[in-house]
Amino acid sequence: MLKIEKLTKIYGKKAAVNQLDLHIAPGEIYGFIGHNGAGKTTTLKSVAGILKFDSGEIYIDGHSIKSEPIECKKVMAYIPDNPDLYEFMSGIKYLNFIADVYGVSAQRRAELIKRYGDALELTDSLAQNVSDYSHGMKQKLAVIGALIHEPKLILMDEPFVGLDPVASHTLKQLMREICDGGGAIFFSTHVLEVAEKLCDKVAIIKDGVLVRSGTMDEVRGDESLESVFLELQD
Amino acid sequence: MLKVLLKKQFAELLAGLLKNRRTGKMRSGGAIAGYMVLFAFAGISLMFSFGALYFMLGTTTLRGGNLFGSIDETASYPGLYFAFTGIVAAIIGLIGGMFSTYSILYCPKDNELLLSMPIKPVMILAARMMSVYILVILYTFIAFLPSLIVYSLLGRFGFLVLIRGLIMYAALTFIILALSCALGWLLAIVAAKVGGKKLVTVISLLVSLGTYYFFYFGRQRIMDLITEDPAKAEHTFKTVLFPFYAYGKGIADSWIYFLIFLGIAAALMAITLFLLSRSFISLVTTKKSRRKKVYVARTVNANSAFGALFRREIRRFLTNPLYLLNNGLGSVIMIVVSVIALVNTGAIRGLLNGIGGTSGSITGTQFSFSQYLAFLPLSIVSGICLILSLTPISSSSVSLEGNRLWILQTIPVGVKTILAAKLAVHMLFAGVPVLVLSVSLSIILKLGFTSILLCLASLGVALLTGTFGLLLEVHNPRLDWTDESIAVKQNLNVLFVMLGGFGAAVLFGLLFIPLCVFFPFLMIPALVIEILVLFGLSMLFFHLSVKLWPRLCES
Repeated sequence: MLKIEKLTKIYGKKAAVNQLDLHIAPGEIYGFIGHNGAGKTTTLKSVAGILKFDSGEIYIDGHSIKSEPIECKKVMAYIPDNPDLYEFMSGIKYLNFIADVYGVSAQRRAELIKRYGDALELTDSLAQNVSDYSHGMKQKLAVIGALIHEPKLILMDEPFVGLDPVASHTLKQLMREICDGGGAIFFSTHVLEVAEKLCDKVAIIKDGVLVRSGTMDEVRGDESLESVFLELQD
Repeated sequence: MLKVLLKKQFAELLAGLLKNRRTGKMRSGGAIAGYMVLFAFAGISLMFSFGALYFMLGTTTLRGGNLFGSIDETASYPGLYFAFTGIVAAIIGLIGGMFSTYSILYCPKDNELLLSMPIKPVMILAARMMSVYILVILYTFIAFLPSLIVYSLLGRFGFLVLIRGLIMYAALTFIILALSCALGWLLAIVAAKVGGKKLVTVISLLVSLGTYYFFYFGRQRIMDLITEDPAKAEHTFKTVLFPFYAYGKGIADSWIYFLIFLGIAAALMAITLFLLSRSFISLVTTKKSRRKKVYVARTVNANSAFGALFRREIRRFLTNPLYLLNNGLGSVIMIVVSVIALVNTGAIRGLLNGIGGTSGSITGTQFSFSQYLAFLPLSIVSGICLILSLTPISSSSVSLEGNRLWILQTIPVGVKTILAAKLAVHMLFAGVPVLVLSVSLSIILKLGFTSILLCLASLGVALLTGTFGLLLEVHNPRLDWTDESIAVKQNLNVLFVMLGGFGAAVLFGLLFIPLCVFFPFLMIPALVIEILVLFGLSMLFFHLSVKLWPRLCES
């Protein structure tokens, strides 16, 4: 579903991401962990088509993000770490805007808005303006906006930040459901316990270089993910 | 503590001027020099226009209409002269200061952070007021300096006048600061009690516009009053506009009025500081709760991607009072002018026939109404360039994306569609009104076939301002704003589009109008050339905008 080959992104003289290789198959929840400034967001933004990169290739569902960005974006959704959404729209208008852009039929969008809105307990607030939403409500709206066009690949940058425990639990369930249905999720997190419980595979990045990746058992062995992570940071 | 806060305040101000908003890096030396030259040019141009106004005023009030002889003391009213210049400086300062005061004092995102620190609120307030004060000085100095220069040419200028002038100017700036802050305080109370920053924006914009138009139309009335009877005007100033009378007399010749004016300034500042410091914390931290709307699911129709983007742009334009009033004012002007012109069709035709007689002295021939038609369409196109420069809707459209740009960057829609939606909104609110204006003028002037060319040229101008604004925005948008006013009011792209409109008006006017005065048969070819240039450049600008869009993904 997602193939990253020798991805390199340089800011000034510093390589934020250096020769990164990563493969994510359909059905996988892939966790991406690393310290602040390690290159997680840069990688996610490069995959999402927000950021140009200096060398390497990124393929999404067989299409290159460089040469076929529209084809890639049709099957992908991105949720940023800080969900800045259109504050001049109400929640429902934002969702209809996204649905229109992705060509979701009126009937299908109504079903999905109801389903995900109820699951994340946002339905009642959809008539309110986004400017009146709390951080957590915006995060929930961004999640519904990402799921409404049923993407094959979802990129999430720190998706659990700002969510209450119930919404956080619901999101984990939704992530598992999506991947069980053949989708793939690539998300960054600082919460190692979440990664440990939720992810099928995990990649650890340090100073822009991938230092370890694989299935959870391969990466942590007999230790906890936290111990492995701390060892690799030394 | 105040020093630390001021340092932070100035660092913010300098970063805004010296750093590239897109990349966050320092601008190059050339870019900084370019901006400085642009600001200097704008400042000097304004100073010259104020100087010209003061010179006309000074000829009457300082010289009694006798420019070249010695000064006749009985016909010289230096106090009146400075009183008028004081009014000009005060209004310019108020227009510049009061609009920004509310957002500078009460809206910064770090207010709560600073209030959580061991800092006295009055210190935070004082540091914020310093930013307003800098704005006030920048604006008023442009109106004040020419008053001294003109006085040195026409009046009895000396060291004492200079010193008193500078001190009175400083006092005047404090009065303007006090009034601006008082207005900001009232707006903050409205925002806290009624809720809705949009309402506050509308009020402050309307007050700004009202002040501007009051000045624009009132200025001539005051000038007429002064030139007709200076002695009577002096009496009127003393009774109706006493603070300015004191300001003028204080600079010109009276120590008593000098002290009175200083007293007024000190009292106003003290009252304002007292009021503001007492309510600062509560106004900064109060948020009006709103009634929660309950969502009821309804069936909606699916739209195309372009339709969705177009509707999104319209909603942004119509729901943002700052954007609407600042960039869309020309649309209203065009519709109003069209209606007024149609209502007064007969009078306009008569006026044109009348002007025909006087213009004959320039060319040696008398013009009839029909001869006017030979170059009027070209003049109208130049006029439309000027009006459309007041409708730079597209020139804030990318900057307003701000931190939400990621949405446009991740949706599966081509750049052409995204930019076309922005341009379509520009054409809806600038192109349609200009078409209405062109049609109404065509009817009034009975242009016949030429009216088609006039309408095409007008649409071409609208398209050119739209694509030029887009190109500037894609090339250098202001995306890192914390307040939308930065993307709209402090956006140089808006200024460049306005200057571009003026430039196009002058260029077209100079190139074609004189030619068609003498060779009327060239009017149609000239219009066709204008249309080709306008549409050709528009296509080029749009193409370049599409090409440059990926640069937004570089950092």
